[in-house]
Amino acid sequence: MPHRPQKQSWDSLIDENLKKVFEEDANADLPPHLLELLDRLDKIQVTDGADGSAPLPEAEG
Amino acid sequence: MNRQDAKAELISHMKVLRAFAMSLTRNDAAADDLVQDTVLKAWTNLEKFQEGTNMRAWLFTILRNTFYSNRRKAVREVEDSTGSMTESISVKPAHDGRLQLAEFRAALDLLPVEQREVLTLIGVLQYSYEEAAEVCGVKVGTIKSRLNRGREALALKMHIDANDRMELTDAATHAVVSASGGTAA
Repeated sequence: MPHRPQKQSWDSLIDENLKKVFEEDANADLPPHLLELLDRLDKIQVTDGADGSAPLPEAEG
Repeated sequence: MNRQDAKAELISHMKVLRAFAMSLTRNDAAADDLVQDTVLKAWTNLEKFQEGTNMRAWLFTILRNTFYSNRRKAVREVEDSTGSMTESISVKPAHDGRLQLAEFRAALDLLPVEQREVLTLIGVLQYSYEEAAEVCGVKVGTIKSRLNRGREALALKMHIDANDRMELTDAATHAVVSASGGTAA
């Protein structure tokens, strides 16, 4: 009968894999169009909330 | 907050922001679009950010609210196609006895986004139950429930892979025994 990890070790293993997935994604290079967006942020006109931009959405579940 | 300081801080959060977007969308192009929308909203609403508070948390909130808002619109547009599509996707099990990262990603893709989100907030970003509840706008009990169900689904997948290895081993043994006329030990 093979040894089966207990719930706690499954949870640790899952969290470890989740972290690896997240780290892989966080270490990936940003695509050029996002870098370009950052470069041109200063050129985006902001008029203190009166610019017609969408308001921040309310928190939701 | 000075816009240049804000921009510098915004840039410093970009990669984590994109990783969070990936955890929700599980799709590169969709994650990029989501980050773009988030950055634009944050930039044009910067006066609403309270200096001295956590900008990353603020960006995460904008991102997830944008994601769920877009998702609701998409669900309205294609009312019933996504659910059945998602359920019909199957993950090819791993045959080396442990869940490889690519296969773990595939298993993660199949979870409901609400569970994936909580797994990321708590399992990766080390949010407390209370913080996750605040970010998601739900009760602590709901967070615990989503976390448990997400972990159970992933553990089940990992158990299945372990079982799959057993079956494969049995099949290989059977093949060897058959080929050697039943004399293999």
